[in-house]
This record gives sequence, C-alpha cells and structure tokens, in this order.
Amino acid sequence: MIRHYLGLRGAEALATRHLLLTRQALSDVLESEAMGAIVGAAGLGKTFAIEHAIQARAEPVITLTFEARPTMRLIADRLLYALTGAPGHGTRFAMTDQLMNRLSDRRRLVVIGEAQNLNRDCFEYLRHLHDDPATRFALLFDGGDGCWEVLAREPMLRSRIYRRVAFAPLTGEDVLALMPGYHPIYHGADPELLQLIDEKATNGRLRSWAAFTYTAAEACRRCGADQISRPIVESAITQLGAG
Amino acid sequence: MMPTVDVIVDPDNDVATVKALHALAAREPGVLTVSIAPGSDAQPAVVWAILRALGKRIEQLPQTSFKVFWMDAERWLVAHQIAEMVVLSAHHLRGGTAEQLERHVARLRIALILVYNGPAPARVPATTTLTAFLTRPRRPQPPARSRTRRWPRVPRSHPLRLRYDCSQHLAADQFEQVDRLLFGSLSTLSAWQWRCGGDVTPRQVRRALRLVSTANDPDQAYTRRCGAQLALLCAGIPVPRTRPLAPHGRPLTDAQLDVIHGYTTSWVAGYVLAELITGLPAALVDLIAGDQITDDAILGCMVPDRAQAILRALDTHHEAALQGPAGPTHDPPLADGHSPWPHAEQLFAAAVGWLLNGRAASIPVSDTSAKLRAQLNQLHAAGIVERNRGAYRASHVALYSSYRLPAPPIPALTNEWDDPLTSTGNPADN
Repeated sequence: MIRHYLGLRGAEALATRHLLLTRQALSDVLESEAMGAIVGAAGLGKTFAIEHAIQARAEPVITLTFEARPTMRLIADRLLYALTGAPGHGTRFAMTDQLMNRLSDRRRLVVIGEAQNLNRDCFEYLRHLHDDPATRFALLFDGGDGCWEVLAREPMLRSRIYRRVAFAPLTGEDVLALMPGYHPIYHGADPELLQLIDEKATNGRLRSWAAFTYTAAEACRRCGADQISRPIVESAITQLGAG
Repeated sequence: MMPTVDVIVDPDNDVATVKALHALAAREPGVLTVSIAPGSDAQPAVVWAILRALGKRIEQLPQTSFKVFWMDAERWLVAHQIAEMVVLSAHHLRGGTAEQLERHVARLRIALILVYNGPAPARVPATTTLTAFLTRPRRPQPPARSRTRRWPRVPRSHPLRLRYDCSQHLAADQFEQVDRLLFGSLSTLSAWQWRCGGDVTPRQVRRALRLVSTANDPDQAYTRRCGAQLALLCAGIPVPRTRPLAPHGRPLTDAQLDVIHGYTTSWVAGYVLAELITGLPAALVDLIAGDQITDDAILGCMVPDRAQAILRALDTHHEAALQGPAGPTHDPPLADGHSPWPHAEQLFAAAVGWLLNGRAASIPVSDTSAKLRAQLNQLHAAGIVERNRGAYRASHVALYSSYRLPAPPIPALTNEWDDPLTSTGNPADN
C-alpha cells in the first residue's frame, strides 16, 4: 500500500492520465531494460505514480535520490550499498566492476530521484553502467523543475530515453471528474466547491490536494460531517494560508 | 607492418553505435569492444576496462589486492587472439592513458579503433566511419602458437642414468629440452613432498607419481616419470609400480565457463578449469605442469573451444603451472589402512637415498643383507653403483643424473655399458 502525502488515510490512487502513462512507461522500460524519464514540477504526483507503478511489478527496485551535486564515486558507493548492503571498497573502477556484476544477475529497475541534480559526468557514469552488454537494468530518471532541460542537454541521453512522461497539473475537467473518487469527504461534493478548492488552494497539484484533504478531513471529523461543506472548505483554505 | 589506429567520431554517442560495435565483438572472435568509464585517467582504469571486456570479473581477484597491470591485459589479449580493439568513449582516456593504450596495443600488433563522442577533438580527426568499419573485411584468426612440442626419443635408461645417457646421445638442444623436463618433474615432486612435510604414505606417493608421469608423448611421459622417480630416490622413498593417470574429461556448463573466465590470474583460471574438467582432487591439480597442458586438453581431457584461451594464457614450463584461488593445497595423509611400504623396499630405497648423498657416502658390503646386496649388484651392473674396497658407492653417472654433480663424467674414464638406446634391461621402467 503506497503512503499518500502526510499519511492521508482513506484516499484512493487517482487514475490520472499521467499515472496511467507512468505505469505504461515503467513497464516498457523494464521490459526492454531501457532508460526513461518522468519529469514535471514538484507536487504533481510523479513519485507517487512511480511507486504505484512499481507496486504492480515483481522486479527488484533501487531508488536513489541525490539532493546535492553528487560525484561519480558517490553514485557508485550508494548504488553498491543498495545492491549489497555493504559499502564499496577499492578504487572507483573496482567498485564499477562489482556494480556491473551485481547489475547483471537479474532484471531490475534503478530510479534516480531529483535527476536534475546530476552533472554530465554522473549521467555518463550511469550510461556507462547501462551500456555494458552484461548489465540488465532499466534506468528511470525522476526529476522536478528543470530536469528535462538537463536531460535534453545530454546528447547521449537523447538516443537512450525510450519513454518520457511529462507531468502537468490537473485540468479543471480532471478535477471535476476525478476528485469525487479521491476521498470519502468529496463523494457527491458540489462541483463549485471542488472548483473553489482547486482555484484557491491546489491549482491542479496532487500534493496540494492531499494537504487540503488532510486538513478538510480533520475539520469534517471535528464537526461530525461526512462530506465537505462551504464553511469547512473556507476554513481549510484559510488554515493552509491559501486564498 | 605497424597496426593501424582508426578514429570514429560519433558526436551524439548514439546508442545504436554502441550496440552495433558490441554486436560486432559478439559475432567476431577477434574483435574486442572496450567501454571506457568517465574519468579514466590512470592505468588501472583502462586495464580494468580491457579485462572486463574479456570476461574477467573483480570477484575472482584475490581479495587482498585489486591491482591490475598492463601485463595482465596483454597476456589475455594474446590468449584471446584479439586482432582489433574498439574503444568506446575514447574521450574519457585522460592523463596519457590514450598514449599508453596505443603503445601496448601496437606492441601486440592489434588494430585500434577509437570512438570519440562529443565534438571531434582537433588532434584526432575521424579516419573512418562506423559503416566502413563494420563492413571492413575480416580475416579468420591465424592459428595461435602451439603449446605442444616435439620430444626427442630418449633412451629407456634407469632414472639414475637417464640424464647422463641423454647428455651422451642427444644433440645439445635436444638434451637441453629433456634436461629441463627431467628437472621440472623432479622439482615438482620434491616440492610436493616438502609441502607434505616429508611424511608421505605409499598411496599418496603412488597418486602423485601417476599424475607427474602423465603426458601425451611417450618420450615426454618417460622423462617425466624418471624425474619424479629421481625425487623419490633422492629422498629415500620407495618407488611404487604405477601407470600414468588417465582421467576422463567432464563436460562444463556455460555458467562454469563464465566463472572460469572471470579469473584475471591465468594460473588460477587454469586451476579451476583443470579441477572441473579432470575431477581430480586439489592436491593433484596442484602438480599439473605446463607441458602436461596441450592446445586443447589438460592431462588428455578435452577443453571446450570457449575455454581454450585460458590454456593459451598458461606458462609452458615443466614445473607445477596452476594454483588454486586459496594458494597451494596441503595434501593431507591419505588413510592407507595398514599398508606401509614393504620392509625390503624401504630398506633398498633408504640405501639408494643414502648413497646419493655423494661420493663420501658408502655402504659396506658386509652390512647388507643378501636381498639388498642382489638389488645393489643390479645397479652396479647398470653402472649406477660402484663396488670397490668392500663398499658400495654411487657412481659419477648416478650423481650427475640425480643433479648431484654439475657436469657429466668423461666417458673415457667410465666403464662402458650397452648402448642405452637398444638396452631393454631397465629395472625401473614399469
């Protein structure tokens, strides 16, 4: 079971277009042991969609996120640790050889979070691991703002990115069609209220919807209400500092 | 003619180029595609890349050392009969590594194809295209230099005079060849005995003697056997009657072959291969010498084509050529039940061992039993033992033949014996 943002309970995974595309893309890159990219601004549900897609697969998955500017050695070390449970030793080239051997034993998925933080050497290093005829892993770059621009600057990735999903905020129609099924507090909700929430607090961003729902559900519980009402919505918007 | 260095420029580092060049290497046994990791500015990085492309794996290196050297790469490039080496991402070769690579590869007469990505470097303009390179006609690999040697016909002399007889009857180069083999098998068995702590059981001796006496060629086998017998005689150990070993080859799986190819150290790769293919215990695999390994077999057990590069990487000398991943194996005493050496054999071996200590070592005839006297008299008739002033002594011939004397005795000063090439009276030839 995937954890929603803030540990929101009772929420469903929305079958948005991007979630379905991510699922298909992840399946495709895994089957062909290729590279893929899931990009888009923060809070649009990329990581949730990837985790959701991974749930449906049996292959082992390694997820590495590099917040600061990593080095090739750091990538090698973290990847080896994830594969073996032990820190790497020896030179980077010795570690690279160990990594290639480990990455050859079975098909697996390596997800690199915040891929926009990687520099050219790091992309080259990952490409080097991936290009080895013996290794059998799919590589998925998950990145926020500017990620695609960074990936697109690397000519070597242009011919290697097999699937790309560019996340965008939910449209007004998406909100009206999907949100009533997101959480019990929205069942049979007035579309005007949903539009109000989207306009004032969430702007089509799923992470904002989760934060709003968490707040509104707590308000509903306090009021003994099953569904949202205008006062609850306005109160939650105020609590979130939106509007 | 110097081998060529070609440059292909692939500005976008297209995955199709990489795949096409890897596919070429998979199809053509003489082509190797090496992928250079970013930041390869030191020799080990490039050597690693070459070894990895040849199937070597770091897990099969000794755990205490991850060091690799150009000579490792060179040994295996020759063994795998590589004629063309494609280097992907050659722009990552920095700090003089490109020049080192060119120099080493040129020495082996291997054609080098450097694939540069990104903007074409000014100093290395493209000399060919991917299509032109892929469609270039390729000749079949020339046959590798054979490990198998022709052995001269050696007299079937007693081990304690074979060396002397060979020095008299063979041409100098032939004698040198036989002498090296004789000494090689002697030192192999001596080293084994030393590792055993000198305390060896008859069954152990029989087993080791059978292994050391195994060879394809009858003259080679005879010389090997004599060398091994010399080691036993000098140590005062009885020589058992045995036949050479004839192990039955076992099939190998692809997974086993992959593991064997993973070893960077050739003698370890050869050891694991020999162990699997012959099914012999580790203590015997330790005794296999370079000359007992032919172009396609170990002790007569056929090696699959895929593993024959390992045989080409092994030394051809006459001492033990293989070593297990954990170093030399201790041969533990075998459970012999209650079968010690027969007393008479032990007595004779001890007497011969004593006499071989030098001209100063003697055994009074009066101290010998009738049976021992008969045995020593047989050696006397063969010119191995002298009998004068009421005592037995080793002859100069025997001392030279057992490497106790550096030069052969002058024939005019020794007794005349039958021509050993026609002689059949060899008590140790069994």
